Amino acid sequence: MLTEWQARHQREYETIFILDPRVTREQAERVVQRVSEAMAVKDARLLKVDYWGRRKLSYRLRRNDWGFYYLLRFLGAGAVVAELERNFRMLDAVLRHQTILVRSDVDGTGLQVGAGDVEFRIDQLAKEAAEAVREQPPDAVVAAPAPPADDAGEVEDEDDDAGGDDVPEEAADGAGSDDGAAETDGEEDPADGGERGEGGAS
Amino acid sequence: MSDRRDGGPSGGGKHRHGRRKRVCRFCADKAVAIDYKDPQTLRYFITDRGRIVPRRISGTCAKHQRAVAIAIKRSRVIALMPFGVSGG
Repeated sequence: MLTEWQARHQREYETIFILDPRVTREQAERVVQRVSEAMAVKDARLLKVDYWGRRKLSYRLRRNDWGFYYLLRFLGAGAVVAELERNFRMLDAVLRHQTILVRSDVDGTGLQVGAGDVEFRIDQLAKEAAEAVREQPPDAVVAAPAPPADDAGEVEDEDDDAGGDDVPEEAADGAGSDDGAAETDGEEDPADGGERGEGGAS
Repeated sequence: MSDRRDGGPSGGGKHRHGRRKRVCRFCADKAVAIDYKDPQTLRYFITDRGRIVPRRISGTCAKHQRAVAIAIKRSRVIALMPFGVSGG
């Protein structure tokens, strides 16, 4: 609980976060739940939740051109911001978030917050998200999981190439240590990229 | 001495290109707030490539230029304004 003094000297923050345009209702609810929990745990008070709707982004974020914007205003201490941002970082549906200190030394006692002011309007969000997905099939999602089907086999081939034709056990171990790097390369462009690279070098 | 150097804009000195002295937009109209959530207003203070316009061009006073620059940078972080526009 807050002491009398703390309640009279709070800080007002403003947080904007952007949700993935293909967000599902469950994901959105989880975000709302995390926000409410963070507020409750750190004795903060939500003053206002503003749903801006679907907006075009000025630049692409994780292959998205659009996003759902939310603006939160709340009273609390610095610990709330840390807790809130920690949660945002864990949630995949949140593309971006930014918190700004609006005013410090705010007297939080006697402040009335209407129930309508802290409404997340998830119904509308879910509706708009569903409409957006229907209009624009998620091509980026289809493109991403295509390559890794033969990933393991391809990576092994690459190692063999790197180690030479007949690889003794020691060399194979050495190649094993490179495995991690090879796999991460493989995610984007399996085997092909590596072979092309070698061809270019020789 | 130093009076030859600039002439001073208000001292009746000639403006080389006949340019009028610009007044800071935010000083002239106190009602206009600098808000990072309002990209429409801030758009006036970036070039078409997305760079922040220097105050010698926009005429903004030092105090408000600082505020504008911070607002534009905040606005960029949440994708309301571009960091830069490629191509062109």
